[in-house]
Amino acid sequence: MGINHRIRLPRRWRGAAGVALVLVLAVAGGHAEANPVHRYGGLHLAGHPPLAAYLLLGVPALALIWRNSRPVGVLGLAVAGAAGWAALGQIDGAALVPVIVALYWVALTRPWRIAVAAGLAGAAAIFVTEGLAGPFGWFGGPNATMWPELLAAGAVGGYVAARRQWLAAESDRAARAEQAREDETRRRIDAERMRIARELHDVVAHSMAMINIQATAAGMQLAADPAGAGESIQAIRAASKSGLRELRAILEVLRQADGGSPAVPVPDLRAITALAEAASAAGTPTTLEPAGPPAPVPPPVALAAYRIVQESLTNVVRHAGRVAATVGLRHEGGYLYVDVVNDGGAAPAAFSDGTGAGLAGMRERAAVLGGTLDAGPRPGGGFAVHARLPVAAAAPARGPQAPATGPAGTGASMTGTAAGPGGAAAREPAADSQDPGAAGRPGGPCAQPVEGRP
Amino acid sequence: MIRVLLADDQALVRAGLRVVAGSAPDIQIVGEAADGAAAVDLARSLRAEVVLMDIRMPGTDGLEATRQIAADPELSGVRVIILTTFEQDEYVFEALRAGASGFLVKDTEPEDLVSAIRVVARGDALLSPSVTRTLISSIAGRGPAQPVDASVLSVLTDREREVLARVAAGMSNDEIAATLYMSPLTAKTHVNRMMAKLGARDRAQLVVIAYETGLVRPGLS
Repeated sequence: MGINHRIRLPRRWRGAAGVALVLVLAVAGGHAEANPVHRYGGLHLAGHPPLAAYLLLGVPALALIWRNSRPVGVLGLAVAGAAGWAALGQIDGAALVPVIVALYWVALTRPWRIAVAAGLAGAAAIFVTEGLAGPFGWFGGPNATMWPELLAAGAVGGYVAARRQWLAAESDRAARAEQAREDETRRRIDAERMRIARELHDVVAHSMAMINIQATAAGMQLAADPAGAGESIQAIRAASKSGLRELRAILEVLRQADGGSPAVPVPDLRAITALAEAASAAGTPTTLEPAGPPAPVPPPVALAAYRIVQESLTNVVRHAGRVAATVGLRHEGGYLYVDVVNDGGAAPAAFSDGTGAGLAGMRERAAVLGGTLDAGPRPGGGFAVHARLPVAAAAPARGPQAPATGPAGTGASMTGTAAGPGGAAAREPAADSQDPGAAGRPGGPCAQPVEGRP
Repeated sequence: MIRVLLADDQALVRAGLRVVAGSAPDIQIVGEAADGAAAVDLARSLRAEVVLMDIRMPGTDGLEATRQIAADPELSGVRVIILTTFEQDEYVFEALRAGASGFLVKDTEPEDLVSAIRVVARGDALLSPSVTRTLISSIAGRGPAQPVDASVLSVLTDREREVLARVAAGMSNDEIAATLYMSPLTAKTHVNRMMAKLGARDRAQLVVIAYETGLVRPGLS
């Protein structure tokens, strides 16, 4: 057993001393007990046995060297020695010492059933031999005293074994918990890295690829089709602008990850106004309903709403082209309703089943807050996104972030003071936002309030 | 004329590709699809020969659309070229396994795009052999997710295996013919017969099989 192995090596010398002690006790004790000078009233002692008989005591004691590897065998040898000593008509009190020590080791290193069985078998053998041949008869002398001795040896051995096992299990459990914590941290870091990579790929690489293709096209059209080239250049301008914006947002998140302090405020509902302006500037006339900003909501909800509107408008610009869009924000009955509707007929039908990465991302954002999101083509053409985000349930676990107070339009503290709670809640509503290792980064890059320049 | 279908969810990318690919006199852009399902439908109805397919599209994505095209006997003549932002895209290998003939990065030079369409339409050589081999060997070299039993190759003759190893090395039919002292027509016959036996619809699948069965090992050849 690994445990004993570990314990035995540094205690080698103590073990050797113990074996020597048992040897001395057994042999010297047996010799003393055999001394016919002693008068145990009315006993018939056999006197000193021949010298070779002392092997019955010495060999089992020395055999304790193998107590770890073969404890049951050593016990058997000790029992045989003690029984043999008793069979010579000797008192086997001292001869029991190797038996007791061997039984302790059996109990320590073997299952308790084996210890009990071996102990009982050994005790029975000694009991019978001594009862038949020993000077005390059946119920006197060692035949009476060996039971508590053996019981104690077995019990102590069993106790120590159980304790060692428990300690090992405990340290194993601790190691496992430590490992699990490390795994979890690594998993979170990986997830965050993957998210940033995905965000970079989806947003920046997409824009860059499109710009490249359009630039190639523009170059080829320049002579033959200047109008077409002009359109391509317009597309390049719009795509590069939105790509830059997204890139900046991602970089801000990465900087935050280093510095810890938020470099940009969490986008709030007012920033959605800027989004609508930006979409209008990009060729999708976008109106906001109602015109004024709604009552403030907790930062996680504001961030999700912002992201949903942003993604939806980006899709409109990308897929539907120059059509009018409407963004609706209603705060009603504990929910924030976000609607983005466009009336263009060109939206791809397959958008409806929602496996697109953008839609999936929006659903995820809504879902982590306990909300829902539906998206699909409208009967009369165009595309609609409807999200319902619970306001109360999504309130961050700490911090005095403004609950829905104040009249619409004040927007007193809509801007989150820290990205941490917003981000953590955006990913996992129940996450403890104080967890330092969790690096509660925002669930999405905190885009800058979009520039509203025409 | 080579009939080409464009499948990409970004209208502006399609518009750009239409200009770039459509500039060649022997290439005709017959249609555009904004998602995979439309790509499969249009490939059928427009009798497209080559589909330029984006991987990430809403709804049916490019991988699934490639799979559907490969599974449809009616579309056995349709060749799929995967368009990707980066060469080391992890989905490209999946797409090749699914039945795509090759892949191109979106910023490919116009003349390379046009010649790629021609190569794939002709079917006698592997599209961008070195990149394809590097990709397949790097991914197959990691050990396949589900190991492919080398016994699938037992249906091949020894000669065909020699040809397969050269296909996997990126050789064209003419090059194989030259190294194995056979006529180009014989090389082509071997390749076609192997594709039929192994259920491959294109040379790219032959390369995948060669690596996954261990006939060709990464780093050799």
